[in-house]
Amino acid sequence: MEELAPLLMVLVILVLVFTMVAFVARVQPVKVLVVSAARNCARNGVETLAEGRGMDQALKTAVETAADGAAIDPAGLEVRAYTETRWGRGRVLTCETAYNVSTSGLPLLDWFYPRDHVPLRAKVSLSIEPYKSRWEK
Amino acid sequence: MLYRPQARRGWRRLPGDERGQSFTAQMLVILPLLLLLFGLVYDLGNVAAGVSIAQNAADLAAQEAGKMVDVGHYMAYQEIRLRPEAASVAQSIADDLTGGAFVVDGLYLDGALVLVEGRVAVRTPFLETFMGRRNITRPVVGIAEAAYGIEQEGGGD
Repeated sequence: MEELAPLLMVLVILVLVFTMVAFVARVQPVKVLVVSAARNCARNGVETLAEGRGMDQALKTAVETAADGAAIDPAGLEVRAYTETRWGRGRVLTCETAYNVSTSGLPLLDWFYPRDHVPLRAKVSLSIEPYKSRWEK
Repeated sequence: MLYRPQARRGWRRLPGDERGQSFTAQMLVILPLLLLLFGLVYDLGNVAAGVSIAQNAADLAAQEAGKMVDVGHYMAYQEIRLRPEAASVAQSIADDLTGGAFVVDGLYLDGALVLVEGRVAVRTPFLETFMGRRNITRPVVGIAEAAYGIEQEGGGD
């Protein structure tokens, strides 16, 4: 029993180090994807002067960006696009994205994340194209 | 015939308390090394992610600054120039995405291209503990084309 104690200690430390590495490897790629989704959402949304089309392409682009990376399940991505005032030239479109990274299956992480997930959020606000011709009648 | 293993000559069996000391000494060497290894993985991964996010921020900042064309100056001289508030707009976009980690150092025009130059400082808590290095700073450049076009509605007749 006396000789088992050091082994157990080493095992616990190794599990802790493994958990930390696995945690970082799981969270970091998702963080970049959540930010990219918000960026592309806003960037594509502001390219049109048509409100319906702008919102549509903003939301679609966010989900497509998230789906490009294997780290995210697009079904779990929350996307919100809105303008404070009416849609129009120079008005601000805001895109917010949110995703909860699951930490289940990683030992000892319950101490830090009792809800079994790490919440990630991103927000980007851009102004709708000020100089753009409207071609539709 | 029963085989009985015997202690090898010349080998000395350590007493229990000395074995404990040997283990403690090994752990004192191995544990910081393991932590350093993890710290490098964590901090460098964080830096890579931070630079990637800052690149997004720089591109967006350039795009947004590119919408601040000084129209009066353009009409008079046929030369693209940005309005003075373009720099603060670029910085506010960068702040939104990076929480202040990305600082815009300069906003330049190269023809119709808008260049945002800056640097992102990513915190490195483990490297700070082991080597006293508080953060890693990387330069980031964002490029976009200045927005231009017609701001009047078409259609009609």
